[in-house]
Amino acid sequence: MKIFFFGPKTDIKNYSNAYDQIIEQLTKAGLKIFSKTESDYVTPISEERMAEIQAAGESVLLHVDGIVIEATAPDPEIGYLLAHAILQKKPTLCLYQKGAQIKKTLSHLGQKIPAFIMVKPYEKSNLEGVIAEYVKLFGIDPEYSDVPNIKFTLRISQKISHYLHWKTHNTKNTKADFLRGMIQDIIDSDEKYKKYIVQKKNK
Amino acid sequence: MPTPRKKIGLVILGGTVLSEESSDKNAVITKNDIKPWLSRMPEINIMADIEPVFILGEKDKEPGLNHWIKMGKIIADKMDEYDGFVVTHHVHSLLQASCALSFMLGNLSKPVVFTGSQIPPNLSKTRTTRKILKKYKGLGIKANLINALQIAIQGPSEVSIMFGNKLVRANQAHVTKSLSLNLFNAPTRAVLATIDFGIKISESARQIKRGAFKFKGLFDDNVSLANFYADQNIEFLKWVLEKKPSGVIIQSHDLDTTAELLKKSLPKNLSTPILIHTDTPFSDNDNSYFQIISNMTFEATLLKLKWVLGQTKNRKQIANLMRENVALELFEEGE
Repeated sequence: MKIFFFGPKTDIKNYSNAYDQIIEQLTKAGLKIFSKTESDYVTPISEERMAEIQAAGESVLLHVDGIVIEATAPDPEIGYLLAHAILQKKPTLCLYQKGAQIKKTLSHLGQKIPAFIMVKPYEKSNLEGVIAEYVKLFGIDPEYSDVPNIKFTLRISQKISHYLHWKTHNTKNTKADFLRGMIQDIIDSDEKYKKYIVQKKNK
Repeated sequence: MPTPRKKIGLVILGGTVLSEESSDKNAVITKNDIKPWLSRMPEINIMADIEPVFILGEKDKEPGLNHWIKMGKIIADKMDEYDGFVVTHHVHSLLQASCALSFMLGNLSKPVVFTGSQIPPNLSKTRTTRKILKKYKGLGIKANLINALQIAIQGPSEVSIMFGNKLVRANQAHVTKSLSLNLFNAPTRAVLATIDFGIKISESARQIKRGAFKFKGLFDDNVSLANFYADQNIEFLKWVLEKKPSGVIIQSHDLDTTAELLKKSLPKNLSTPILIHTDTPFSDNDNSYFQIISNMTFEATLLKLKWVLGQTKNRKQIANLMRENVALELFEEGE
C-alpha cells in the first residue's frame, strides 16, 4: 500500500519529531510512504513512471492508496489534500494534537464526514494504535500482518548457528529470512491453527 | 492561532460539466443550477468560502468580448473583497477570454485562474467517446476546480489557466494537439506551476514585481483576420480594407511572399494598422506597411490588438504598445 504523508512545513521545528514518529509507525505497519522533505518529495515511484504521470496530466495522488495528514499546524494544503481525498475516495487519516482547528475545517463540508476519512487526536503513546486502526481501512488486520516488525531474541546452539550459516551463505536470504520462511510454511500447513483463526474472526 | 478562511470569487461562463454521467444534468445551465451544482462538490467548501457569480450557462451561446469585459469589470470591482478568483469557461474560447482578461487587469495583485470541463453538455456516447472517457478519467471539472481553487488561494498573482497538472500563463498558452488532461501548454518559463502531490510554483512565477492595479476594459472589436498562403491574392485584403476595419491581422504561412505582396500592393503609411502574425522568428520588422509579430501566440496577438485599439488610435502608439510587454505576453528569447 502506497501512502502519501503530509505534514505542514509552517512550524516544522515543533513538529518534525512528530512527523518522523508517524512515518516510522506507518512504515512499521508495512506501508510504503511518499513524503515531502525540505526541497522535494521522496517517492517509491520511479522517475520514469513519474514522468509518464506528469505527461498524462494526472495528479500523483491518483496513484497512491491512501493519505495521512498531520493536521495540527494550520496550512492551506490540508484543505486541498482533503478535497482531493474526498473526490477520489482515498482512505485518509487526519491526525491532530490538542488545539488543532482541523475539525472546524472539516465542518465546512456541511455534511457527515465520509467513513474513509478518519480524524483522530493522537499523542506518542497511542500513535501505534491509531495507525493500526487506519490500516484496517485497507482490509489489513495488523494482528495478522506479514510485516516483520516485532523484535524477537532467540538463543540457539552452535550447531544450529553453523547450519544456518551454511544454509544462507552465498544466497540472497538472511538467516532471519530463512527462519521466517520456515515458520510461515508451518503456519500455512497447520490446519488446526487455520480453524482457530476462522473461529476467532467469527466471534 | 486560527488562520482566516480565504474568500474566492467563482465566475461562471460555462465549462461546468462535472462528469460524463448525464452531462447536461451535472452542469450549470441557468443561474438556478448553481446551488445544486455546488452541492455536488461539498469538498471544495473545506478549502475556502466560495462565492459564485453567474454570467453564462452551459447551453448559452459561446462567450464573446462583451461577456469578457463584463467578467473583467466584476473581478476589478471585487478585487479588494476576494483573495483570488476562479473563472469556469467553455473550453473553445477560453484562451481568448483569458488573454483578454490579462490585458484588462493590469498589475494584478491576486490570482485569476481559468479552468473548465473538457466534457461538453449533451455528450453523445458513441463508442469512440466512451473509449476516450474510459482512458481519460477526470475530464470533468471537479479535479480541475479543486486545483484552480488552490491556485486562487496561494498561487501566482496573474491570469493563468489550470487544466490537468499544469498551470500556464494565459497569454502565452496554446491548446495541446493531442487529447490529454493537460489541455493547454506554454513555453517553459510560462509554466507557472505543476502538480504532483501538491502545487509546485515555479521560480518564473515568483519573480514578478508589480505596480498598482489598474482596470483597462476598453476594446475595439472591429479587427479583421486573414489567412495568407504562398499563392494568396491581394484582392481579398483590399476587399477587407474597404470594410474599414480598425485593424487587420494576417496569419502568414509564408512570411517572405506575404511581405513582398503587401509592400508591392499597399500604399505606404496606410491608416489601418496591419499586423502579420507568424511563427517565424528573426523576421525583419522595419517597414511602414505592416508590423510583424512573431513573439506572441495568435490569440494573444488578436486580443492585444483589440485592447490596444481600445486605448489609442494613433498608429505609432499602436505599434509601440504592440511591441511592449504589457502583460508578460511576449515570449522570452530562446522560448
